[in-house]
Amino acid sequence: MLSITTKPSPAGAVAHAASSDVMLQTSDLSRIYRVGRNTVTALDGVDLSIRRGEFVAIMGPSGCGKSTLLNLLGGLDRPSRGSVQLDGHNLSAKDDEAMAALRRRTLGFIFQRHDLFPFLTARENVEFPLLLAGICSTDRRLQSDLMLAQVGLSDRADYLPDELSGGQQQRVGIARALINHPSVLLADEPTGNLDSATASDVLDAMTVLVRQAGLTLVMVTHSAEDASRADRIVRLRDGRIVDDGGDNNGS
Amino acid sequence: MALSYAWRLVSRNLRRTLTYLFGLALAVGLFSGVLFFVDASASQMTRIALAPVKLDLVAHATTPSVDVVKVAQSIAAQRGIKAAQPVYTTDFTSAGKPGGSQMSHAGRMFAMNPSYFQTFDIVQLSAGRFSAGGAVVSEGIINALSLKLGDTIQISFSGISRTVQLPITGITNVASADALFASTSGAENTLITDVVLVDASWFNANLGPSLAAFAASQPGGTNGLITYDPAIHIKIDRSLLPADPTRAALQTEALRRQVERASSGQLKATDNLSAAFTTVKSDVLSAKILFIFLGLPGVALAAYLSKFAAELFAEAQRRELSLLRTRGATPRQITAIVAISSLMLAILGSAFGLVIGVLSLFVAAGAQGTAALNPLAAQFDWQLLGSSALISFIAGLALTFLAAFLPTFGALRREIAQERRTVQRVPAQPFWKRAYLDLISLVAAAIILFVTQQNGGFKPAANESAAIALSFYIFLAPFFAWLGLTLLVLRLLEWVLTRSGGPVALIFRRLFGDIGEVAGKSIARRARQVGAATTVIALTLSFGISLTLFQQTYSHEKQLDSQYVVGSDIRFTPALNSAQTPAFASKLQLAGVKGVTAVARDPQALVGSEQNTVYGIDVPSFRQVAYLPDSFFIDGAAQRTIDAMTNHTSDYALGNASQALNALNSTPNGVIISVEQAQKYNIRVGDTVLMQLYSATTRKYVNVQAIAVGMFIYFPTSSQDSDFILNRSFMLGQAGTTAVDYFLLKTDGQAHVTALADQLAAQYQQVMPVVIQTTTTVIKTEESSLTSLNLAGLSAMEQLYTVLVASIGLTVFLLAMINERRREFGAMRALGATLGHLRRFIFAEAVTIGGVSLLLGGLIGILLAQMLVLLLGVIFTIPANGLAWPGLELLLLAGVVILGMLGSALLSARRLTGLRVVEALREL
Repeated sequence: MLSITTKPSPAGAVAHAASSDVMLQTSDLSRIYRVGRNTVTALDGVDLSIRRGEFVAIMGPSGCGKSTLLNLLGGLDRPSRGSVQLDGHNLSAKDDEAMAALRRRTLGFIFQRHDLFPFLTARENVEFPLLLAGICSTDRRLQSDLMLAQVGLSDRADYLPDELSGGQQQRVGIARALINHPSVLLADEPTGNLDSATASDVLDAMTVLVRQAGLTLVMVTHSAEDASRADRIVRLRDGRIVDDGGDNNGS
Repeated sequence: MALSYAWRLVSRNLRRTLTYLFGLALAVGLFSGVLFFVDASASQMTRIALAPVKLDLVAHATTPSVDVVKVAQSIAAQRGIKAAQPVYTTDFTSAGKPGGSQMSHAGRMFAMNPSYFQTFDIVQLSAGRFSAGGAVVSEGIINALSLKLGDTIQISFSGISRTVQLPITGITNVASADALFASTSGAENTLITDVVLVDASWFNANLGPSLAAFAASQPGGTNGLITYDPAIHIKIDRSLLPADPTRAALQTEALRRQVERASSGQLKATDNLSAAFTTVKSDVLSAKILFIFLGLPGVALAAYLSKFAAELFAEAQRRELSLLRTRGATPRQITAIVAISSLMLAILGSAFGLVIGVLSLFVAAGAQGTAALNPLAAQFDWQLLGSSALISFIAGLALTFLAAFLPTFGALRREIAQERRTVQRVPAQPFWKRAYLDLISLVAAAIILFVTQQNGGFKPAANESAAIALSFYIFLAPFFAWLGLTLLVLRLLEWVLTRSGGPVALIFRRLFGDIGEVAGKSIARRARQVGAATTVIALTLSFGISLTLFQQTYSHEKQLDSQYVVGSDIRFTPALNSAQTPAFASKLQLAGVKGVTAVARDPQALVGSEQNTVYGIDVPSFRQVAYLPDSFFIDGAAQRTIDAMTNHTSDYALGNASQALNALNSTPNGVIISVEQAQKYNIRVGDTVLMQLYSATTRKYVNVQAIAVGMFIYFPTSSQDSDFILNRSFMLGQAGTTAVDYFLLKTDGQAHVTALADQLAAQYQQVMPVVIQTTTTVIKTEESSLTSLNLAGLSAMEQLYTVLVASIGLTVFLLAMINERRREFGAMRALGATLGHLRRFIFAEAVTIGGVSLLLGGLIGILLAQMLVLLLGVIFTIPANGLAWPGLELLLLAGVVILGMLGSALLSARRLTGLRVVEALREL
């Protein structure tokens, strides 16, 4: 069961999840950017709760604040107003270094342009979060090989990103995001740079793994088809949630 | 529109503009600094070369009837002439005491006005004064005829029957007055030791008319003697001469013609400055080549840095211009914008660079401590720098065209022509790699070295050869070596880095923790960029280190050369008329003097039919005082030496000072001989050497039989004529005299030399006429202007640039790498990397680039310095025996460079603190 609240809620519907089930919760979340002499409100008072294990797709036109919301949920950016609670921790209260540690332990990120490190092989890219966590090299190698096998890239472990196709690169990105067993996976248009067939494959791989691990997945996408795989679709416009989407599975 | 947009492009991106301006200014600054230094040094060289010339022009009357007094007055009033004095010359047939039996040889009489001595600094009176009714007599006559002040001298002339008698009112030393003896033919001046100076009025009243009449009756001359030569000695206004020796020579030549024109057909003028100008012209050319070649690597590196700085922002600029293009700007408008903004940058950067160049000159002047190089000094000639400033400015424009305009313009054209490709193209190998330019350059350097060696280019200057000529092409060897080494190091470094990912990662993990492992892999897989950065900084360091080493070796060599010429630290030469015995040495044993030795010298000795200079030394005291490195001596008895002498090669068996001096000491009539003379006279060790010594007492030659006991290549005391060395006691005994010629003094440290020389001069000023030479005065007067060059200034300038380019270079490279990888760092942060992780990552890269640069820079620097010393050693008499190591200076340089690098790493790491993850990930 999911619950989305906006303030003021265009739909007027307010739902609350049981607090123990809530993995991510925002309250009056706002982000205002200063551009020259003007200010731009990217997010404006968003209240959103996402349950543990829920797959939420965030949709909306360009510039509506989807990525801003995702960045705030992942602690990559700081809100101008309001707060984000991640598994009960208030992200605003944490400094940059504590946030980095939290991201390392709890969050996984998948980027639209993969953002693999070009100087590391597929395996080394996947290992990177484990290395930051101080895991020994033998364990790192074992786990990363396993993860690469899960995304179907065992035979590409020693390839550099430049030597992989776009789809393969994104699979490496998914493996890297999942290697540290995060509670929440944040994906920013993970198929945005892929053709439809590849996108479908990548998304299949990602959802299977996420469902198997029971992770919470928040995915920003433009694609209605991709979003249709989610438990819930949240629609944004002009920095506000215009549609909580209800339960996608039930719709 | 283009102008206003170009201005906005420049003014609104201050960081970008300043970075580029700084890079360009650094390159232009170093380039102009080197050129300014060359200009200022060249002017100094002209000044140094002209300093010993005491008489600028001599105009001889073509007929005895010319009224030189009147003509001198008209010449003195001419433009560019400072003074003109009439001087009458006549040769006398003999001079002596009235009624005495002992007469001098033929000599020369000069008649001049008393004001001559204030105008010209040619004749130095060692005693007495110049008086209208008396004569000033040379030390040679005084010594030979045992005359003294107050005695009367009687002089006879050819062509007139009567003799003249004059009281001796003064004594002069004419050893350095060769300008007086300049001939109208321009042939080498003959130094005459028997000279009498008289007052011109007395001369004209008593001798002039008779001599003029006789000269008029003998148009063909009288047995080569000067009967009557009225002349005008002219001093030109040297302050009006251009610093450039070529132009100064032209101006002097014009003045000479102007003088002749003053009294058409009646005067023939000789220009004494032309020889100095000829020497200095070739020296200036060599110095210019030397300075430019020494400075060129620095300029190339600074230029590369400026190109790199331009590329740093090329992408951002390209994006801005692309945006303009999408908004409808035509390719022509965009080209205009790029051109105008580049021109603005070029003008600003070049102007800034010129300021840096002048400041560099100031740094150089600080080291040199002379006003001629100090732009803040009142007498600094700014006109000197005009053409160099213009050249530097144009170079700045050209550099901007190449570094800023062309890359941006090219990128835009490509952008306009085709869509950006998403698939990354594998970059082709650069041209130099495909063409093996590194190996070709090294081979070229080796060929030049080989050819130079085959042509005898590295052989030390022979004792008798005074002129030193440097060929332009030998400077190409270090240039090609530097270029070849640069590219070879780059190739090898890339190769090593690419293959050493594993070990580097392992080492870095130990040094910098787990993130070090990633940094190690990053370095290995970015070998090209890291290699380029490392190579540029390594070469900057090598350039600084090689120049520091070379400069130290150069100064050391200069010092050794001067010690060799002086013989020790100080040479004390009493005047001929106050010659001393060896016992006088004890009087020179002042505080701070470690030892004194007396040396006898016979410049008129005969070996065979030729005149040679023979020296007499007291071995025990000489070896304590004189500069006697083992490298001066060869084993004359060794078969290898005999073979070398037979085959006329220089492959002699090495000897040592102790062996040769012991042999001389134990053989009273022993002689040690320069290998050059031994070869010339076919003398071997053990041979009897017959020579004739000239006895100053009897004025006759004495036959002497000596035995050759050793050989040397160089012998201290003179670079020109120290060929035969006898035991002093033997020599004086044979010649029947007790008088020695000079004393060598060893001080207890170079710091005391000048003070002791001053003390001796003050002490003996009123006692006897003496000449005191030190290593410092010899450097100033006896060496060529090329060896008198002060490289310290250039070295100081280059060291400053080494520190600047190494530190700024590392900062630029690190910042560039951070800039290029902002997305990567953003992703790392998103994945949970702390700032500490990123700082260690950057620090690992900085340590790699800095550490490897220092190591390689040191090695290449030493190699290049060795090569420079090998090539330029030819300008010194004594070949360099390896490099002179300025330990403290090198440590200081390395320390400052390391500090600079540390600062760069910290500055770059600080940049990461402000990294905004979201913005970094959003970047294109």
